[in-house]
Amino acid sequence: MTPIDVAFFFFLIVTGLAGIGILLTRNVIHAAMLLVIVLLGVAGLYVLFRAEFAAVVQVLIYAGGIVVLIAFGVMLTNRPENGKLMTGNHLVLPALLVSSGLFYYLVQGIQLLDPIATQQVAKLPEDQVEYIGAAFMTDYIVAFELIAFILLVVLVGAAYLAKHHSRL
Amino acid sequence: MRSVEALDDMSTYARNIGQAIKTLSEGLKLTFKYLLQARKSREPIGVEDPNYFKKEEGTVTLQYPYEAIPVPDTGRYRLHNEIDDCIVCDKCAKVCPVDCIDIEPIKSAEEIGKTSDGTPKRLYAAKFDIDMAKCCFCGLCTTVCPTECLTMTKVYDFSEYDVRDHNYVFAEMTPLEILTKQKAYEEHQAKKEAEKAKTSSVSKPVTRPEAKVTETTAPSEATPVKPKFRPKPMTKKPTVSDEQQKTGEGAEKPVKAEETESTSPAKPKPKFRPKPTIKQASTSDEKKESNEIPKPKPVFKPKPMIKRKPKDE
Amino acid sequence: MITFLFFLPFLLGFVVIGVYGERKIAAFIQNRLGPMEVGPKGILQTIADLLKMLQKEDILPKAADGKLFLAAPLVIFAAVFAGYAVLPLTEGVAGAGVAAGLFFLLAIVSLDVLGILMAGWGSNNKFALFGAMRSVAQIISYEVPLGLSILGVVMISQTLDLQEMTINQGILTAQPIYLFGIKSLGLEVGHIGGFLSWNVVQSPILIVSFVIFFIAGLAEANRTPFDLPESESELIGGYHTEYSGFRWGLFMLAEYGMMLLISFLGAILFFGGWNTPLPNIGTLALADWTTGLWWGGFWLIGKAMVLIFVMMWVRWTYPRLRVDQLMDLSWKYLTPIAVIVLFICGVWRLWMI
Repeated sequence: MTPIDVAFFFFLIVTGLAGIGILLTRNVIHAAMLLVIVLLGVAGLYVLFRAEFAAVVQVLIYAGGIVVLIAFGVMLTNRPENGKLMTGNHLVLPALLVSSGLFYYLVQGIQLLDPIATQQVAKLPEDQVEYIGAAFMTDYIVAFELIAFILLVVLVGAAYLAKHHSRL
Repeated sequence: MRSVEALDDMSTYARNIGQAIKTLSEGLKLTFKYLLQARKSREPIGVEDPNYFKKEEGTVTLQYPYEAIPVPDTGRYRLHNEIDDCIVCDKCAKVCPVDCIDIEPIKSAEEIGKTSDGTPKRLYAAKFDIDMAKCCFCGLCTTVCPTECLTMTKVYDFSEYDVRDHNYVFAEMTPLEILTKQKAYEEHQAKKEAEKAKTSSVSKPVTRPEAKVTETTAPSEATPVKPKFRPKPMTKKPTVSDEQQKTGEGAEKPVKAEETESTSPAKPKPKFRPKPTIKQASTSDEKKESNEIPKPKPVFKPKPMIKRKPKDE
Repeated sequence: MITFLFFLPFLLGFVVIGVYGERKIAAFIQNRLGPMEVGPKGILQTIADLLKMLQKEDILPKAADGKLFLAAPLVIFAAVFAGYAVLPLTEGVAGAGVAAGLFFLLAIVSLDVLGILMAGWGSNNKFALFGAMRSVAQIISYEVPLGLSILGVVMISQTLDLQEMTINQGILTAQPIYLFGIKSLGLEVGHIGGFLSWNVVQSPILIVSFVIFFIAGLAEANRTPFDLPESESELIGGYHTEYSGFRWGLFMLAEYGMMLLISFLGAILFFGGWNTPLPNIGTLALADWTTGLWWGGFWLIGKAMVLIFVMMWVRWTYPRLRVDQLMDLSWKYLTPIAVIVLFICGVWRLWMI
């Protein structure tokens, strides 16, 4: 095994264990923190696949942003009397069906894409940032602008909701 | 309307920014000035120093145990009693407004020594405690002290872990000494009584005096306190009579002096005014018989009165 | 490797000196003397404090959420320390050669929010939770102007690699550097070097950027005008209320580490990193003479220390902001200004250079 392989399996196992932990723990905050580990593990895998930029974005947006928002939301909204937030596992069977179905199609899709993906990775230029930036502003300009627009709408909506109701 | 409001908002916005920059930079300048001034620092000089109020810049901290502002000469801090000079007159205890001085005298049959100013001592201090935790630093005790042995020093840093440690013990006698002295006096007293019983006539008063003596002993020194001390005269009669040789160098001393047998380091500087009169009285009195009844305490200032009485008798 | 070999011991040493310096500066500004007892002029005070702290009991409150409580200081310190991985120390000596180094630094440092959140929630203490929530709200808010102000620099220097960015600010650069970045002036200063080739001089608008960066950095490090999360007067220390001993020390270490990281970053982004401030003046080739392996480290650390001094100076000058003022400052002032500056930077890059 090359060091790369060791790192790969390390991240894989960490991610997997943390993911299982999310399912098993009944403490919401613990689940959120385990989610961070999952996201960081995935970021590590991105790095191994030479997608540094994606890894950094993963850390910045998901681990540093989304999870904090989740935890923050949990803390601000809902504090039961005994001080511990608990969840349970409900609808286990349907969830199992849905997730295994998704997993099946995911694997199928990856197998289908695999040759293309490896070819593209080989083609990736050294300076990913420049490449990604150029791609955003040329090939994917419509998607980029649409996402930007949606985020703007979300931002305005949030500001509107946060406004004092007396001034509505 | 709206555009005007918006303009207004914009101008306040800009003004806020401008103000923030101005005030913040001013604050930074101010603190930086102080940072530079920290090169200078204050020196431990007292209020009397003409520069005392001129040290406005630089660090003001004095590293106390190492440097301290000198205490002015008028400062009143911890009390100190020079027990060798103390005649155990009890005036300080009497005048103390908070009762922080606790004195327990033992009478002695004869003069036990002299203070550095030549005042004869006739009482042992079995106990001379000053509780500085109670002291209010009024300084009255030092002003009434006839021999100036009780003084307020410049020591102001005497904190303790236990409040009881604030009780300063100045008496130097061991319990054994105290016992022996007490016994000696008792024996002496008994002897005297016996003698008096023999000699008859004067004997009546003797018993009383003893009791009174203990109370009055200390105050006897105090010149102004006389009113209370009157009882003493009775006791004194005997004492006064004792004065045989009156070794007193100064004219005044003789009054008190019964016999300077005691080891006292005689530094004769008799400061007591009233004495002259006393002497006359005392001298005129009866026989010496010094060894018998030395109860010198009451003798000091009140003496004039005392003497008279003895004379009368 | 350089991160562990150099920055870890350097950080530890810096904390010892930094705490002492901070106390001395505070004292001098307030007409006091500061620590004077331990060692000459109190130099050993921090070491004595450190020894005391290490001996303290590691208290785990009964009601605390043990796992979160114990892990939080490690997460915070790890997050801050990971940021050092990409810092270039001197000529030819850089940390991890991540192409997106600056971006990585911002991302990894933002993780310390999680640690603070864990500490606050895990302590099961209302003050700790208040502190953590304030801290998180503050750090997330100030990441916006921080990111925008850095983006301006990235635009000007056209790279995310901090080492490359540094090289472009000195005499070793391959690109032509024009005075104030204005090509039409025709004054090429690349070979003169010194402070003339720094980013703030290459593109003067970056001074505004730097001010925003510095303010946001103070907020990120929870330093005094923005120390609401700790505010001992109201929250008794905020999210580290319940900590003691070594774990508390880690918080302290992380705070000073964050300060130092922001200072290094400021020095690298705006003030030429390890480049010398002395220009070549004719035959007096000061810049050439003061460039080299050891000089590089000296200049970088020197610049960082100046910024650290400014941070301490600011701390002992200004009072703490209120929460609403804090949010106003971030969203109403810093963010819009940062966006405008970013726009100007873009224009500058396109038309001037």
